[in-house]
Formats: sequence, C-alpha cells, structure tokens
Amino acid sequence: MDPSGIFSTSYARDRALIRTRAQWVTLGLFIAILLFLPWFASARLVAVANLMLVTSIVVVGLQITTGYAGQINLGQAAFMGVGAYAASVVEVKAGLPFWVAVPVAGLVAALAGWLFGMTAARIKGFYLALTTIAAQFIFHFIVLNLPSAWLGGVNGFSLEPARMGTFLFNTDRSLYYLFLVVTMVMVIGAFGILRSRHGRAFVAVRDDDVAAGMMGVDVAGAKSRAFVLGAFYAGIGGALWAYQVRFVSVDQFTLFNSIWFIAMMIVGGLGSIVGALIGTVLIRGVQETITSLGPDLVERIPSLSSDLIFASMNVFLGLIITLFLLLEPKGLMHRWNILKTNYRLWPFHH
Amino acid sequence: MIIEFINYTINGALLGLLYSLVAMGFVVIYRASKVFNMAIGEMIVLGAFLLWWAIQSRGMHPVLGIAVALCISVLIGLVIERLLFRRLIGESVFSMIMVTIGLLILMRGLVLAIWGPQERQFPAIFPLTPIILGEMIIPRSLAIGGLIAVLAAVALHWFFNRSRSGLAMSAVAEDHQIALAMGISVRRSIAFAWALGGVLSVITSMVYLSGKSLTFLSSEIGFAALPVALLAGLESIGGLLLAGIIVGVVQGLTAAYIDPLIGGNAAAVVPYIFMLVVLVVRPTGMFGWKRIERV
Amino acid sequence: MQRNTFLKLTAALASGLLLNAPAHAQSTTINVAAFADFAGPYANVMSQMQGGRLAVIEWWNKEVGSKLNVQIVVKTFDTRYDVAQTASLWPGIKAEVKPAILLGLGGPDAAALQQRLPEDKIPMVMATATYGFGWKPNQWALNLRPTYAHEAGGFLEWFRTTKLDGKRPVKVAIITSEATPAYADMAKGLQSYTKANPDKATFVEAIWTEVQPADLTLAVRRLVNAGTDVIVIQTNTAQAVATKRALQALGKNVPIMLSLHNGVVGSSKALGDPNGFAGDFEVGAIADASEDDTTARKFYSMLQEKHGLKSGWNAMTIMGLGQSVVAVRAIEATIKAKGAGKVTGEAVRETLMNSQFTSNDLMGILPGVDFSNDTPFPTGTAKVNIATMKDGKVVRAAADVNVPVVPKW
Repeated sequence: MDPSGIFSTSYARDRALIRTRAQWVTLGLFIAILLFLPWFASARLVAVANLMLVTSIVVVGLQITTGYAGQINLGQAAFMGVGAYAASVVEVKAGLPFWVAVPVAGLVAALAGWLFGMTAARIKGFYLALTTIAAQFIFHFIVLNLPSAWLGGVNGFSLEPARMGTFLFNTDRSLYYLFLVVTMVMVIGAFGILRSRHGRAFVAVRDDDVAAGMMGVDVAGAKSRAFVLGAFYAGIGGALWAYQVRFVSVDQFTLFNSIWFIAMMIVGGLGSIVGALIGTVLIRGVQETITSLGPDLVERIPSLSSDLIFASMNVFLGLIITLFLLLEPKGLMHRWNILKTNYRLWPFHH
Repeated sequence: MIIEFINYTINGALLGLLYSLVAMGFVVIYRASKVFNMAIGEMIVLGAFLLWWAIQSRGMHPVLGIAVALCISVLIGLVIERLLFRRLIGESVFSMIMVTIGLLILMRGLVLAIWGPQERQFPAIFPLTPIILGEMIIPRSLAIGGLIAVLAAVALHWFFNRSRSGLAMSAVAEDHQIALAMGISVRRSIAFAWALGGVLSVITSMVYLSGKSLTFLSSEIGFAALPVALLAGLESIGGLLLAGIIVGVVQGLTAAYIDPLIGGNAAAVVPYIFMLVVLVVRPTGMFGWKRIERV
Repeated sequence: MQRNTFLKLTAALASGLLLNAPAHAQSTTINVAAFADFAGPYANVMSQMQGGRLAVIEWWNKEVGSKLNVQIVVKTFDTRYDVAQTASLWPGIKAEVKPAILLGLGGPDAAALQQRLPEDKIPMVMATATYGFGWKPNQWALNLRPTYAHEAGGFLEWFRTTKLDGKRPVKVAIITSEATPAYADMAKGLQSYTKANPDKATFVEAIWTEVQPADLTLAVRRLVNAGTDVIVIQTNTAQAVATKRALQALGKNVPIMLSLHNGVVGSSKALGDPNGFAGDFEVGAIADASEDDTTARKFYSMLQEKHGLKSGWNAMTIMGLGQSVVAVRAIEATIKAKGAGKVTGEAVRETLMNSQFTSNDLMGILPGVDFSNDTPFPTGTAKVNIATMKDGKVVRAAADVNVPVVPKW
C-alpha cells in the first residue's frame, strides 16, 4: 500500500516492486552498505555475514514452500544437504568449476524436492510435515550407507576453494561478495516468481486448496512446484555452504537444522521474503552475540558456571520464538507493516 | 532358528508398543486440543528427569517418587496450557505446530540449564530380570510397558469415544470455534490434554529408561515414535496399538536380519519408509478421521 | 648548594634507572585459542578438560615462561560442538587473537577448519582419537592419539596374547550408531584392522543402534551365541549401560572395551553401580586414570597443589593436560629455535612435524608424539594404556602396549 498522495499513472508503475524515489534511494543505500561491509566490519562479522547469507537463501526457499504455498516442510536441511553433496561430487569427482557445480546442485536438490512434492499432492497438513521429516532420515541413511567412493560415506567430502579462472575464493571477503551476488540473484528471483501467477497460485493453495482447485488452479502442480522451488533454493544454499566450510558431512544437515530454519521463518513472518531475511539475521545474530558475550560474561561473573550461561542460550532462543508466536504470530514483518501504516496515517488511526 | 525369529518378533512388537505409548502422549494432546505436540520427546525427557530427581536425587521410595513426578508433570502441563495455548485457541494448525517447535527448543534448553548435560543413572523401576520362556528372552520392562500401553490405549479409547467429557474433547479436536459454539470449554479441554500428556510422558519414560541412563539426548525417541502416530492416523488411539506393533516388528526384524547384511542401520529408517508407503495409499493413516473439507 | 644539586641529580638518576628497569623485563605474549563445548553433547565433561588445559598453561607460564620472558594467554571459545558456529568464530579468532596454536575438541572443529588451517597457517592439536576423515596427508589439524581402530587394535592384540594365550584370533564385535559419521567411522576402522590381520582378530558383527538404545538384549545374545570375546563400545555411556544390562539379563560376562570419554567410571556411575564395569576395560593412547603413582599422576598432583587445578583425576582432565602439554612444549621448542618474537603458527607446526617429544618432555601424559606429513597422529611413539575397574576404582591393566599398523580405510 502506498501512502496517500502517491499515485501511479502507468501500468508499469502500478506493477513495480519499488515504487517511489525514496524507496529507490533506501534500496541503493542498503546495497551500498552491504557492498562496503567488509571494509568497516571486523573479520568475524564478515564470517557471520557469510553464514547469514547462505542460511537466508535456504530460508527464502522454505518461505516459498511453507510461507507462501502452505506446505509444511521440515526437511529443508536435507535438501540443503543434497545440494551440498551434489556440489561436492561435481567439484571433486567431475572437476567442474563452481559456477557449474552450484546450479547443478540446485537442480539435483530440486529433483529431490520434486520427489517429496509428489507426495504433497495427496498428503496434507501435519502428515506432510512428517513425510518431510522422513526425508531427513532417509537422506542421512542413504549418504552414510552408500559406498564411500560415491558420496564419501562416513568420511564426508573435502573441497578445494571455489575457483574462477585463476582467482580463488578462499578468503572470507571474496566469499562474502560471491555469496552477496548469489543471494541478491536468488532473492530477486523469488520476488519475481511470487509476483507472477505461480505465486498467486501458491497463495491460493495455501489459503484453501479445495477452493483453489475449484477455481481452476492446478493444485497438485502448484504444490509440486512449491517443493521444487524451495528445494532448489536449499540446494543452492547447500552448495554455497560446501564452498564456505569446504568439508561436507551428514551431521551438518540434521532435523534440528530444519527446525531452526522454520524458527527463523516464523520470527521474520510467514509469507514474506523480507521476513525470511530478517528472521535469519535476527536469530543467527542472537546466537552469535551470546557466543561472543558468553566468555566475557563467564569472566566477569565467575559465580555463574559456564555451562549455565551457554545452556541458557537455548532457553533464550526458545523463549524468543515462543514469545513471538504468542505475541506476534505473524512475525516481525507484520509488526513492521503495522508500524509503517500507523506512521503514514498519523494522527489518524485508520 | 524359528524360535529366534519369534523372539525377535515378540521383542519387536513390545518395542513397538513402547513407541505407541510415546505416540499416545502425542495423540491424546491432539485429540483433546488439536495441537500437534512436536515437543513430545522433550516432555518425556522432562518426565524422566522429574522421576530421577524424585527417586535418585531425593531418595524417595519409587512409588512415592512416581506419584510426585506425575503430580509435577500434570502441573507443568497445566502451566503450558495457561501460558501458551490459551491464547492460541482458534489459530491455525500451522501456528500451533510452530509454537510446539518453539516449546521443543525451550524445553531442551531448560532441561540443560536445570540439570546439566551429565549422564544420570535412571532408577530401575521395573525388575531387571528378564522373562524367560524356554529359549526366548523378553526384557521385563518392555513386557510390562507393553501391558501398560494396551491398558492405557483401551482406557483412553473408551474415554474419548464413549464417555461424555471425552466426546466433548473430540469436538475440540475437530474445530475449536464450533466446540466453543456448542458450549464446550476449549480451555479446560486443552488443559486436560496437556496434563494427560504429561502423565503419559512420565509413564513412557519409566518404561523406556528403566535401569538405564538418562541424558538430554534421550528425546530422540519422540521423533522415532511419530511414524507410529501417523500410521495409525492422528485421531485414532486404539489404532496406535496395531500401528505400534507393525512398526516395531518391522524394525526389529530389520535390525536382526537386514542390518548385519548391509552393515548399516536400516532399522532406524525403515519405520519412516513404511509410513511413507502407507501414507501415499491412505493419506490419513490407517484409522484416521477422513476430513470432509468444506469450501 | 652543591650538595643539594648532587642529591637531586642522584635522585633523578636513581628514579630514571628504576623507571627504566621494568621496561627491560617486558615479556612477549603468545596467544593460544581453545575451543570448548559448554552447551552441546560434551558439555558435561568440558569443565574437567578445561581445568586441565588451563592449569598446564598456568604452570608453564610460571616455571618455564617466566625464565624465557614469555607468557601464554589462552582465550576460550564455545563452539557448541557445531560446525557452523566454529566456522563463524574462526575468522574473528584468526584476526583478533592471532593464535600460535589451537586447542581443539574433535569432530566439528576438525570438520570446519580442516581445509582452512593450511591456508591460515595455524596448527590445531586435539586430544581425542583420530577419526577416519582426519587421516589425510598434510594436515594442520593434528590428533595426539591415533585412530579408534588403532587403540582398539592395540587392546585386542594384548587381550589375545594375555587372555587367549595367543592361540587363536580374537572374536570382536562393535556396538555403535549411525547417528553421526564419527560413530559410524569406528566400525569401519575396526573392520579395516580385522581384515588386515585375519590371524589376530575376526570381526563378528557391528550392531547399529540408537544413541540411547531401548533394549539390546537380543542383539547382544546374537553376539554371545557367535562366541564374541570382546565387545567394543567407543561411542557413549548410554550404549555401554544398555549393553551391560543386556549382558546381565543374559547372565553372560563378555568383556567390554570402552574408550576414554565413556570410560569405566562414568559408565558405572550411569549404571548406578560403582563397581558395575569391573572387569571391563578402558583404552586410550594417553595416560590412564588409575591411581598408580606414575609420572603423569605426579604431574597432576603438582598442578593440584601449586597451580589451582580443581578437576578430578579422570580421562577428560588427562586429555586437557595432554593437549596443553604438547602445545606448550611445541611453543617452547619454537622459542628456542627461532626466538620469542617469531612464534607463528607456521613455525609451531614445523616444530611439531620435525621434533619428536618424548614421554619425559610430556610429563608422562603421552607416550610421545611424532607427527609426519602423511599421518596427523603419532605412529611410532603411540602406545596404549589399558585400564580396568576393580572395587570401584580404575586400575591399570597394562601400560605402553604396542599399537598395530592399521591400513587406511
């Protein structure tokens, strides 16, 4: 919704994502800050930013599947793992460079997503959530038990840094720019998809799939597409993760990781891409802050034992998520929109 | 050979009944409040720690300890209802799943903060000597647990399907708003559901961990038992017994015969594959309610 | 007048000398970063290990460092045993702390940093046994103990010669889990040993169960019926307890071989019987936790009396001690070779690769370390200590048992 006084005089302007000059300026500033972040931020912050970027791609994918299309997906970490392993296989076995490995990883993960998406046509609601949990366990089992020569088995995969020509992406700063570019592409893509008829089909299926079917929406196709897209994003995120950590192992993609992704999505707000990004940044930010503060706190308050402080992190995070769900179940984005509208309408109430 | 096979089958079935006991905690909460409790594993660990605290740490007699643990877990269930779910009446299924996920993370953290990560000894509430039938060995705690599971299932089935208050709660499982409109106290129903869930968690932990050790990682059994709940269909309590036995037998036989062959842990993943197959054929499980969706 | 000036001059000179004197005694600081797990699966043993680590640094600073004008400062970071957390902490540690060496934990820090340490040029020492995926050439993540398979092999060979009189191969089974690749790796390693030494050991079966098993009676019965001589459990206490209960239910007594992190004392405590694991063994290529008056025990007592070591005498503390001792000895050797100002990660690794520390250097905690570019763990100097339990106490069964050669798997 535009504030009053701002009108569109052309269809293009009406459809546009970024509408006013002020919005362009803000976006430009934001991107400038992101681009120059490594110059004024500490090395640790850049590493944290890298992790946030990779995770946000995965959570955006989850937002498409679960937030927009309403298909509960508790196996996003498994799809991320499929992507990571696929990228590793392409890089290590086929020797192809990263700009082939990453898209291939996305496609392979999308295939896995499609397989599970097929079940979504018949299975609904919580039952679907459980089949995605099954994806986690099946992924874990398959990777560990296939011969080591295929997928690394218990040894996992070690990767060389991403290489473009002779340039190696082996510093956090270079990785940061790579990830930033990929994230921007993926987020813009997400906006594009969701504003198209596919996105509208997703929302229709989420709100009431029977009614959507009656109105001519291809419900089974939409659900399948939602899974494929979400898994594609997870696969890309997984491939980037593989290039960042450079050692891929099955225990980096567990059910608990999936649960954390969902938590990030909830905190940010269901049904909003920006919300997914905010949720990721917030939760990882809190985790990192507690990790950084922890040792200092332990030093300053020696009476509190270290295991108490670090265990309280889990409590704290769980508390945040639960509180969010109670007080603001629609997430931060909803709160933000309310604030924005109030600001625009002040001093009127509505 | 045959005797061994029967032994594996029986033990598998008993293990499956343990899973159905876990799933019962889950289904009961669903049946009376329409909430999918993803935190069932954590509740079992919490129940286990309460038992540990009462019997090991405070040295109470086991029967008294169990009673105390049951009372405290009922209280905890009521507190959860009061704090969390009262506000969520009428909200979507999705929000409620998410709240229980938040609850999962919260409970794990609380358990870690209060009791720390050390391995604790869990009291042997049931005798440790196994039941020996000829050449077959059956662990006593599992056997007693199986009996408890059957009794609990029968009692709960009767309650939810035949008694007045139970039926009223089933209405809550169908739709909060309609139940409210019919004069059923959704709040009381949810409170009862969580209290009952707490009781079942304590009982389950008794059967699962009797004589063994306890740590916060024991909550893994929560996820292992979910396929049983879904196989039976989320609203069916009696069906849990059958689903549990099936899953347990399949898992036990896989562990006995197939795992040694392939050198991997197929037994862990087989319940899920089985559940997937059944769900594709019957999307609401074997005995779940078939929902009629109105547009 | 002249006397006044003279006095003032003397005072000025004296104060000048006094003020300048401390400047000459300025010491160099060398940073060491330590990874800890205070909120993850190993949080329960972390305080013991950390106590051991810090006490050794304290001791070295006072006894050796003060003479060399060097002080070692340790900064600890909690990784929650999580790869992502380690990966995000690392750049900050690298840039701000600039450590000369890292005291690692195990799995996740090895996973997160294995590929980065060679580029960042900082070595890491870990006191856990090596996992299969760590066995690669040119590693900067080094383990002070060989693989779990090496340790098991050493024990099995000792068992065969002493309990079976060397007459036949030992029948060995392993109980482990697929929950993490590290656990699954233990079975593969053991199989590699048995395959390479068919005359010494036969592999019966690998039982795959959960991290917290519900019931192992029938599985263990299968092992007993196959004539298993030793059951290897190197994963965790819960599996050890479940196996012990199964053996009790069956009325059989097959010896269990445990590792150090799930040793006889911890497992007995979890079982509820202080002498529950009597007759079972705990094996590790590091000082054992028995009460014998060994060099290591003397070192520990000294640390306890003089340097505020509060942790108990157990495997975790010993691992912490071992890590720190190797770290400080490596730093010491580097100082002597290159000077206090030149102690960089690269120099320390060079020292570790080229020097061999003897048991005496390492205060009896480790039999010795000799790393090479091919194997990131001690090979020639590795020896296992085997301890068992008697009357609720850890008792040494055998010391300095040879470690066999195990082919890479």
